[in-house]
Amino acid sequence: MIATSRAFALGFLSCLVLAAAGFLGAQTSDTEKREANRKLLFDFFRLGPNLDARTQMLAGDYTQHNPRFLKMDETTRKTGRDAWAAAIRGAQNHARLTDPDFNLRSQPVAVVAEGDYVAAFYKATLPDPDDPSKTYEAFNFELVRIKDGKLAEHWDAVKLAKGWKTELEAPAK
Amino acid sequence: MRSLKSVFVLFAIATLGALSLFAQGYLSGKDANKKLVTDFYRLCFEPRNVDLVPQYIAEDFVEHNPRYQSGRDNFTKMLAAAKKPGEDPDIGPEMRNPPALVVAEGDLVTFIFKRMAADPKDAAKKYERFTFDAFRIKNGKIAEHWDGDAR
Repeated sequence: MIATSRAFALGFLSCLVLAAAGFLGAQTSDTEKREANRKLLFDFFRLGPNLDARTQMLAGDYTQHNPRFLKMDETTRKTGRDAWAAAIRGAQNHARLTDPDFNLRSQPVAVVAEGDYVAAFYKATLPDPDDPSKTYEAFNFELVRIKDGKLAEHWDAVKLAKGWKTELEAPAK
Repeated sequence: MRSLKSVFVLFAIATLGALSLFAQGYLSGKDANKKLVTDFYRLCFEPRNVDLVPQYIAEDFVEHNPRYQSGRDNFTKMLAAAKKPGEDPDIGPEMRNPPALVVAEGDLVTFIFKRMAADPKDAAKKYERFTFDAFRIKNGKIAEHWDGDAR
């Protein structure tokens, strides 16, 4: 009887240990994946003007949801990673894509990572339209889906402004 | 020896009981936060139900939308003044305007919404654009909110 209960206890304890190890292992690999995904997004922004390295971080079938980039795709007639590379090269002298923009993006106010997704939030200080001597804080986001260690899909809050022109239509000198 | 055995039996019962809770879909903190925000939209925000504001919004709620003020009272005023929903008052199991994506981690929940907007150059042409609402959850209520609104 004693031997049976000992065996039961030992068996039960080993099941618990295995379950706990499995649970912790799953937690750890989940945390590691989120950290790796976070790092990938920030590496992409930190690389800034290094367009070759940044292009290499995109999946071949990269899906873009930014409507300005999609308008540029209508001009370049490219898709996926090639479309991003063509648009960014065509626009690389443009004021919108200079370094301060990337610096801003390396300092998010919050980052939320879950599964294959990483969302980062940024704070901007904008002039108050009612009082030009004042500023106020506004927020923006970047969201990516990551697949096999590459950026596979991108969303942000960009909208088409009144009388919009893409950077390809109006290249800055 | 008998007492040791009964300790193991009790322990086994307690463990199996706890496991069955998880098996029944006990939500993790992150998933509970997602459900809280979904229910907030579905039951309180979308139907403009000001009576439910105290259930979902913390008293010292911090609002980062630059057009609104912090505090639960100010949120209630904003909701009371907001445009009322359509004719159909039914509340369904899903949000009327469901998000395209939800990303949550720790105490933060992000809802990403897809909207169809008119191209300013040609109103007949529509394009997809995205907006976000991020929430920090504390003690089962929404304690902080950010979105992409500008003044």
